[in-house]
Amino acid sequence: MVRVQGLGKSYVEAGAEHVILADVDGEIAAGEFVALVGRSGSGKSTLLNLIAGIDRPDLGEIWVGGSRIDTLSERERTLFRRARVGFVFQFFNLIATLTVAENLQLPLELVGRTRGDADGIVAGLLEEIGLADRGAAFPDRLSGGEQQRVAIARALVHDPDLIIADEPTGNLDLETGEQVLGMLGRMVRERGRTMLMATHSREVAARADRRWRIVEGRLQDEQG
Amino acid sequence: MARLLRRTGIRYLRRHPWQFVLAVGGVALGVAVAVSVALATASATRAFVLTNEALTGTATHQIVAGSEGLPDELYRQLRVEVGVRAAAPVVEGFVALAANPARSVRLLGIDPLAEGSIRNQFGADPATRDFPLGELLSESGAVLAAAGDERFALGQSVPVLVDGRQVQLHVVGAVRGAEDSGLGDVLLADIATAQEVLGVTGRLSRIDLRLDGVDEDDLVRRVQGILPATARLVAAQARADTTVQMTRAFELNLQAMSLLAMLCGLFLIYNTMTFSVVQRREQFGALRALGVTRAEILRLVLAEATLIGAVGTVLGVAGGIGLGNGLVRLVTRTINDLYFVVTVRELALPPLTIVTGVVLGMGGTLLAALIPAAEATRVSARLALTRSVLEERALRTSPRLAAVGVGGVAAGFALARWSGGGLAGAFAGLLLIVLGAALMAPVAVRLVAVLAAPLGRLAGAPGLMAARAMTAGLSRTAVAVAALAIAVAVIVGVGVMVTSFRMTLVNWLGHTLQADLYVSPVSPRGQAATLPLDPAQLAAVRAAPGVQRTRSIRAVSLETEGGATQLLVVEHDEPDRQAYRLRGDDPDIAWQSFADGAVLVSEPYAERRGVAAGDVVTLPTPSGARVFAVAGVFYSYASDRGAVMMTRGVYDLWWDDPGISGLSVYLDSPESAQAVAEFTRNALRPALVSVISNRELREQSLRVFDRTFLITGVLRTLVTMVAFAGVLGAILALQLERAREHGMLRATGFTPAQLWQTVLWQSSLIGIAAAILALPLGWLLAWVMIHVINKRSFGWTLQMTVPAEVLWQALLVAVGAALIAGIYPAARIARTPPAIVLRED
Ligand SMILES: Nc1ncnc2c1ncn2[C@@H]1O[C@H](COP(=O)(O)OP(=O)(O)O)[C@@H](O)[C@H]1O
Ligand SMILES: [Mg+2]
Repeated sequence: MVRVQGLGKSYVEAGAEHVILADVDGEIAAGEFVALVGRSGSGKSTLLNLIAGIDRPDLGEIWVGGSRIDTLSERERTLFRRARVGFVFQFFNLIATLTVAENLQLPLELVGRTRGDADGIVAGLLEEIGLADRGAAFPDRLSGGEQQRVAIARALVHDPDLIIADEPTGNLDLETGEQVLGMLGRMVRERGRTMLMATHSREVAARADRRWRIVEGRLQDEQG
Repeated sequence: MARLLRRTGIRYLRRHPWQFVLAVGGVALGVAVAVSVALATASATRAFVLTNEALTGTATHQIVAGSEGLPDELYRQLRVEVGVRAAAPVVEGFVALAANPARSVRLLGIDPLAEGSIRNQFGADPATRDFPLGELLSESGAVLAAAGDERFALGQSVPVLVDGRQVQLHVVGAVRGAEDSGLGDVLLADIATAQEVLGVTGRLSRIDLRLDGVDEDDLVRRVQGILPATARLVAAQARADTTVQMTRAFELNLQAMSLLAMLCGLFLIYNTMTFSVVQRREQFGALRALGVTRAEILRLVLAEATLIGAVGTVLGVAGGIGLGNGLVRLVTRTINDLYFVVTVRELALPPLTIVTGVVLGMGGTLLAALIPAAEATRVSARLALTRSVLEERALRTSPRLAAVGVGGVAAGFALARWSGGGLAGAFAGLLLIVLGAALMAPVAVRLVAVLAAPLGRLAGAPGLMAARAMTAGLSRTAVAVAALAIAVAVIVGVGVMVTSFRMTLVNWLGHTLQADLYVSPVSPRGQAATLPLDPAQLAAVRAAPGVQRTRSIRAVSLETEGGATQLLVVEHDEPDRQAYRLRGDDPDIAWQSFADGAVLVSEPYAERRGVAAGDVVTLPTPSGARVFAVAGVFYSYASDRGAVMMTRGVYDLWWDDPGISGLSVYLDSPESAQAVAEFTRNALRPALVSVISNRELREQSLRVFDRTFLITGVLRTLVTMVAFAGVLGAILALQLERAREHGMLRATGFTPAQLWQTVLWQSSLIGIAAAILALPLGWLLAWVMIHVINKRSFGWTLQMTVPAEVLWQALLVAVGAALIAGIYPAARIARTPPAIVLRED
């Protein structure tokens, strides 16, 4: 499903080059759940952004679902992301000026689903995340955990092949974080989707099929 | 665009109504000012064209001969000898209403028997005629007036004044639809009646001709063959165009000022859109992560701008029509004071002006939104740049921006001064200077921040916070400073220009008006008047007790190649050297050659026709065109059309015209002014003359000046209003953006009073930064307006005077406006409990 090969990425800051990723190789099979771990600042978000087609590598190749995406244009990568990737971030997930239901409809509208279609899917998902009665509310009326549940639903609503989550619980208290992660894991597995998630939580990492650890710009694959 | 995307934009605007309202207001005011000025000037022009069309009828050509006119005989020659079939003689002039001498109406004398071919409705043919022909021809003083005009009701007898005589007119008929066809302020009379009323027996003002058909060229040649030396055959259309052209510079100046208002409005839009984009960086980042393309983000931001632009433009065009109704009166009055008589009944609404307003409003808004919109597309899904990174970039680029700004100002200044650029180049240069100065705003902010560093010690924590916030929010502060600086610079620039102009005029009046009393016939303004008196009366005034000496002046207009030329004839070979200042460093030589028969030309004449001392001018005299050497150029601010001055001796040599237009009287002592005035009025009876004192004449002139610049003052106020809205918007944006920080400050123990102080300190600093930028910019604007734009528009040299009070007023306005704009945000912030502020992201 995902294959990266010889990936390199560095930033130039104040004239000095900082190598964040150096020669990263790795592969994720369809339906697999891989946890991405590493110290803060080790380059987890950077790698996720590369795989999601948000950013471009300096070196190497990125393949997702049989297409090579690092050579695509900015616009093509955006359209790829729109159709194939679901995203959950730590912050800034929901669009403040859209209601909860509209936030879920947005990805469907972007891929061109009809509204009648979309309404049904959204209603079903809201039911599934236990927020059936909050569809008309604006996100700032929801608690942090509720907001993150909506973000998860939104990442899945258009049925993407790959779900990318960047510390989705970093902003939540432990218990709520556990609930949210439980829901994310269950929903991804039920749908048989592939997920790559950056996390600091040992427990979450333990629940994954595999762990990728970034150490000094390289990936260490940890099985089990 | 996706429905939900659109919805995010609309909801964003709805959640920030003040921001939306200010932006819409900025566009609306800018468009309103531009549209109203365009409508007002277009209305005046249209009214002139309409009247002119009605007066010209179907004539293709006119024979004209200045104020002296043509002999009656010429008309007979044209019909009989040349065989022109379509020709009609006209006697035209203005009469003042005795009931209200400030109001004058046009008297048009025609020959109904000849009008069939030129102005059909006034022809004698009973089939097309709608007036009592017999009475018009036979009754003394019989006129036709516009139907429905109460001043000239049917059967009424109306006393009018002309050339110091009072004459009775009798309204014997009404012209239907006169108002609509531009004949609202026109009285029609038989030609003999008009000659009698205007005192020009045996003379015609002009002859209208229709020279078309196959033999046109031949006819033109034959007509020219019999013309007297002072007459010219001109194309009717070209002549009307020349007249309209006179007001062009005046109107262009108004339009340029109205565009300044628009420019300030665009700053507002730029600021609003930038703020809205900065505020939504995270949201745009999230949208990009969801797969919204850059193009879609661009369209979203531009769609918001379009909405603002559309609402603002609609309000602006509507407001412009309202405002235009007020401005048209000011514009018309100025045109009447300075150029020609025109009456505007209603505001014209040419579709092109409306379209231009729409293009200006929409185009300007989109243009101003382009940079923020592009900025929005640069927000990447990779977590959005934080605010401090953004401000760091602003800090880093500020020296480069300032360098570009300096280049812009220098280029603008060079462009304005480049003589090949004409008036348009001067205005483009002015625009460049303004934009260049705006780019220096970030550096001005940093300068003030450095200067304000000790504020922490002086004003405690609020002072420190305010000084820090200047650079911490540089991208916002700089826009507020730029908008305010431009407005204040306009105030300074226009203030200095008007003051300089007025001072120049006052000085000029001071040395030009040397006599104690000025005598002129009671007559409509703007007409070459003649004092109807015999030599004995004149001698009586000269010999009157208390009179030291008198001096006559003759003013006539001549028809020359470049249009009408005013000829001033002065009585002495060497008029008071004090009274006329000459350009150049050797006036003695110029005066000598003037006494020897050369002429002087006024400065606007020299500028317009490219004539200098040592050149020659050709003037039509009754015995043919004569060439006169130009002895020098004299400063004159009486009219921007220019005049030629010659001595009475030279005039009498070539012209057979003993008439005088006015008399200046020098007294032995000023105490006798009243007595001499009274004596003069009696001695010149039955002529009705006005005798006014030196002071009254000065005051009258300055009143006209102040009236002319009233509209400038109105425009300046409007520009200031737009800029104020801009500053208010920028300061609001700045403070609300820092709401989180303010919440934090409150939470850590800042009192509401301290927050108030913080915001007001910061507003003052913004005001000071704006003033630092505005003073040199305003001076530069004034310099260009005085030395380039005025010179190219009107041909006048003005002495630049920079009154000290203009400068401190500017400082006061800058700081005052910023402080006032700071009050609402300060109050709002101080009122908000910290918890709410902290929650709002
Ligand atoms: N746009 C950028 N410019 C410069 N440095 C960056 C940029 N984005 C990330 N970095 C740097 O790259 C490193 C890795 O960042 P990131 O991938 O966000 O780490 P993680 O997600 O593992 O905490 C950090 O040192 C960060 O400062
Ligand atoms: Mg990270």
